Amino acid sequence: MKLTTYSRNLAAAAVVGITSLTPAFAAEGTIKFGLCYDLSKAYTFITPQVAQAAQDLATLVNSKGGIGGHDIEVIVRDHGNEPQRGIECYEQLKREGVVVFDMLSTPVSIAVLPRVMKDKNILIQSLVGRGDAVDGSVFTQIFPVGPTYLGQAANDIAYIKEQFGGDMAGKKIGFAYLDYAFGQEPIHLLETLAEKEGFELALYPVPLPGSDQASVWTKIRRDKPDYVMAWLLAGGHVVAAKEMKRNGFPIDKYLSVNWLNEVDIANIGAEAAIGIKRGTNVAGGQDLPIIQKIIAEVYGNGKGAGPEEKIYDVYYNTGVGIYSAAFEAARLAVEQSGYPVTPESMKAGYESISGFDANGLFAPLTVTAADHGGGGKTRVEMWDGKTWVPQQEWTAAYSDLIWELVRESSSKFATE
Amino acid sequence: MSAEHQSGKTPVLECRNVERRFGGLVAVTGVDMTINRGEIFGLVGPNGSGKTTLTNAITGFYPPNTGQIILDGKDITGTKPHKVAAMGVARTFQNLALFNGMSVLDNILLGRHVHMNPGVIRTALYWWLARPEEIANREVVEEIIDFLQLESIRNELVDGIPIGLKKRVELARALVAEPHLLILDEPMAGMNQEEKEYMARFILDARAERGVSVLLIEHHMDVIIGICDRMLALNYGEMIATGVPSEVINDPRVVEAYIGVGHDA
Amino acid sequence: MFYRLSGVRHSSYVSDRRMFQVPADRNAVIILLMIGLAAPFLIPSLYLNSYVLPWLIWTAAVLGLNLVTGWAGQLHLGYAAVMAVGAYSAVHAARFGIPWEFALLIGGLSSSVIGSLFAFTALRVKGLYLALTTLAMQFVMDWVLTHSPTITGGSHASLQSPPFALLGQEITSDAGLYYVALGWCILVTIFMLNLKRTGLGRAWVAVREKDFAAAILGVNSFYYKLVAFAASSFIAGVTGAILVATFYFLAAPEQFAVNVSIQVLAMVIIGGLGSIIGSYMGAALILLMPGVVNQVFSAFAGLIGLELSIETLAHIPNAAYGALIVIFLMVEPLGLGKLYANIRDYLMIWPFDQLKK
Ligand SMILES: Nc1ncnc2c1ncn2[C@@H]1O[C@H](COP(=O)(O)OP(=O)(O)OP(=O)(O)O)[C@@H](O)[C@H]1O
Ligand SMILES: [Mg+2]
Repeated sequence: MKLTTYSRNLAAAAVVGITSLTPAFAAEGTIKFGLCYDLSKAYTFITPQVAQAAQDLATLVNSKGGIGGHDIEVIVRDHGNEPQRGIECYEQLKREGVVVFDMLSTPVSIAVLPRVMKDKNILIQSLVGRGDAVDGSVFTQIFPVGPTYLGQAANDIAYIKEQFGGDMAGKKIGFAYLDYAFGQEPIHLLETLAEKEGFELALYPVPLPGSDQASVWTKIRRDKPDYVMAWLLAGGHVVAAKEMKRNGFPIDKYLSVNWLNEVDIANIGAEAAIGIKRGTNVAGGQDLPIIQKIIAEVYGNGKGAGPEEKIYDVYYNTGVGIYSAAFEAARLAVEQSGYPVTPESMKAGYESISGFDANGLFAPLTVTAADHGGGGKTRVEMWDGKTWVPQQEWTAAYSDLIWELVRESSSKFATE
Repeated sequence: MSAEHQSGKTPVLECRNVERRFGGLVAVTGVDMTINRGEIFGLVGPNGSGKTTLTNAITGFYPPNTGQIILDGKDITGTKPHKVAAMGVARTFQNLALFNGMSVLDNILLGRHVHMNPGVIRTALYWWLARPEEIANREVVEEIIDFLQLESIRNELVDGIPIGLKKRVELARALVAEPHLLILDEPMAGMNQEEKEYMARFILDARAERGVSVLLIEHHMDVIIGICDRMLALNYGEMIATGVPSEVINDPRVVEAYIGVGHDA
Repeated sequence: MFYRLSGVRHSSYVSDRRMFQVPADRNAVIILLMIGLAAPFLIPSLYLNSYVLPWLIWTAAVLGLNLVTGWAGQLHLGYAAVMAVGAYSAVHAARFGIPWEFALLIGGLSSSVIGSLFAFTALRVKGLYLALTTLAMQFVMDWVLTHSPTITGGSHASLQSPPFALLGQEITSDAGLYYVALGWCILVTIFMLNLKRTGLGRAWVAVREKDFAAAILGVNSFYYKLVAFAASSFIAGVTGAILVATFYFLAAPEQFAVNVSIQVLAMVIIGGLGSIIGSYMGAALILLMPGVVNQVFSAFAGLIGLELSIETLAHIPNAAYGALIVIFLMVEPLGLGKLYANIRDYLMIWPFDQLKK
């Protein structure tokens, strides 16, 4: 009998193209997070780790009674990095009562942004989407907790300046970037900083998809920059490492954007990669209380949401970071306004996060109504052959300049 | 042959010293030919003698390398085929060139293209701008359909009809254009005697009723003798005889050319 | 029995050239139209605005591409680029304060101009070379969009679309936006239906099937190919603008990237070259199938208690969806439209064909 109803549902689902057949969860009273992710196309280098981290962290929190007695429910769907399907996913989950969304893809985040703003829901947008969304006064519903690429680039320059004893005059900084919006974004800032700090900026555009860098590195060999900052993605760093070796560029003068992980390191070779640097907003490695807890209490009890290897990846930490902040916001929301979590209470929850660092996982985070990024601190870490070693304290440099640029851009959005 | 058609000696088409080469091969050379208004003019010659090439030179597919093509007193040498069509030349192809995916009706309607002015806006506003034109041209088409007795297959896809009918449809398509000059490239190839007679009748009627001049390429000498006013024979691209059919046919060079290649006309 | 041709007699050329010859077809279309008009009251808003609305818009796009590829026979791999031109021109015009009616027109016309300028050079080559040239156009457009912040809206490359309005009336409701998409799709469909009975449509088919035969009938094939590109580009441009105005609400380069061009072409091919109903079906299959397969698959996995990782769950439907396309094309290489026509033709004589046996 049961089966017949079920198969009838299935048939109906097939006809209409959609189904609300949800496996029996802890029923009413959950706090839902909608993760519409690209699990099959361009972002697969990071989405499985982040999704798994979100689910594991939820399992951990739920095992301790959830948030104010309510379980966290993490719903993961695939949108294949297609704006159309991302919107579909958003609209569908919205009707299933989800108010907090995460698309973890720049094109899809951009595509759902107008809807989220109009519906007054909450969009987690860490590390993707438009960078000026940290301006909470304009992007009231968007929470890109963590640094913007602009902030990250500024912090990188601050780090390099530190290495030169505080004087960058006459130095040459190379910027190798994927030649589209993601890679182009920091250029304007870097040009401004070059003028301010007196260093010379050399631009090295890398054509998409980033696998052809031969001519770029020949130029770099000729130009001899003192440092190369690299706004490349995943495999792009592996190609860069090969080129560095061939062109005799020291790998320890290579400073990557946060998109470089253990998988890429393995492809470069753990030994060969020693000295490579990356900017990050979450600590790498597993020597962190929250990661240890997940290993012991979630995986120790066989409740992991995926294979345990995935934990040993800095993108897993990234995921734990994003969702530590999100769950903290939900906790504050329930504490302040009770259950259920509404977009308003979630927004208020986020905006009252203060000095939260998830036990050392990231820099103390303070989100305000004006700053949805939470301070934008990062630090540079170095691969030592086994793990990531911090090279400096958490910093947020040139904040005024960054905010000037952010406001310049967000004000254009506001007047649209 | 009714005399009136030969009397009015205004030339519709003149070929002057036409030559066409393909690489080293001289397909047609030194051809002088004049077709008068209302004339049915035969063009014969063994296989590969350059008959089709001459029509291609006239219609602009393969412009002559030397010489001139004069249509209604105007030099059209080297004019693009679609412009030649617009000047009133219609033709059928030896190997058929119908649009198989379309109905017989639509194929014939395409023959009216030169008299129509199709466009995007017209199509969008069909009811106001295109329909009157479509209907008016449809009437002309229906007349020809009637004339060539194609009513029963009007809505069939061309793909499915027998070859004899296809030839007739192609003739219909050429006729609806209301050309001054109609070029028929072996319209009776592969037809049985009865079909051939039908076709010959149609050609004669077309001239009688529509005053069209015809350049008829044919291997069947009986047809040529039966309906042509004058004719020209080619061999290896060169003219070997021209004049009234009864004389040309018996010209020793023509006989030799045909016997030489063993043609069974 | 439902479809009957016998007994249908035309007493004038007008009735003989009606859009739908078979009464059953006419009735079916009327019923579908009525469903289309009533949809906002019948269909939950989720389906309406995240499935039906984009489906209608993409169908209009597919019809536009089908015009140039299916009718005029010119392979076009840069269609999304042409849509982008229209989308960006219209959004910029609307942001400038120009009413949407005119903004859409501006979008369509700019696409048309760019599309034909491009075709003017590209049409000197044929077949695969033309396909490659159009693909090159797509890449040029991708490059221009990712390198012109003034067009695409600053370093984040997203350009907000002002609220859509017609006749001074702002349209923001799900139902309102849906009607806009429906209206446009119907207009394009009517145009395509008219093509079947006008000289323009015949000329395009002639150019596609045998250009030498077309020439001797007075059809200037270069000109008509150019017109095909211009008309198709106009449809692409307006469709791109409507897509942004009623669905995405902002324009971003990824919405018009090369994969989108390929996707629309896939819709055309799956639906069937030159088939109008096929265009609807092709758009539905390519656009909506991934979601359906996904849902059905996860439901099925849940049903038999299969424990799969989220990644596998995401990848298997993709494979299944690919297989489905291959199967469809194997069953009927001429596309879904032909498949439908076969069934319809069968029904046309059923049950009388049974008597013959
Ligand atoms: N496009 C072409 N390229 C090269 N050679 C050609 C071309 N068209 C015709 N020829 C050659 O020109 C010569 C004349 O051919 P044409 O087709 O005009 O002969 P025909 O008199 O029409 O013969 P048939 O009775 O077989 O139709 C032939 O040798 C033929 O091979
Ligand atoms: Mg011949």
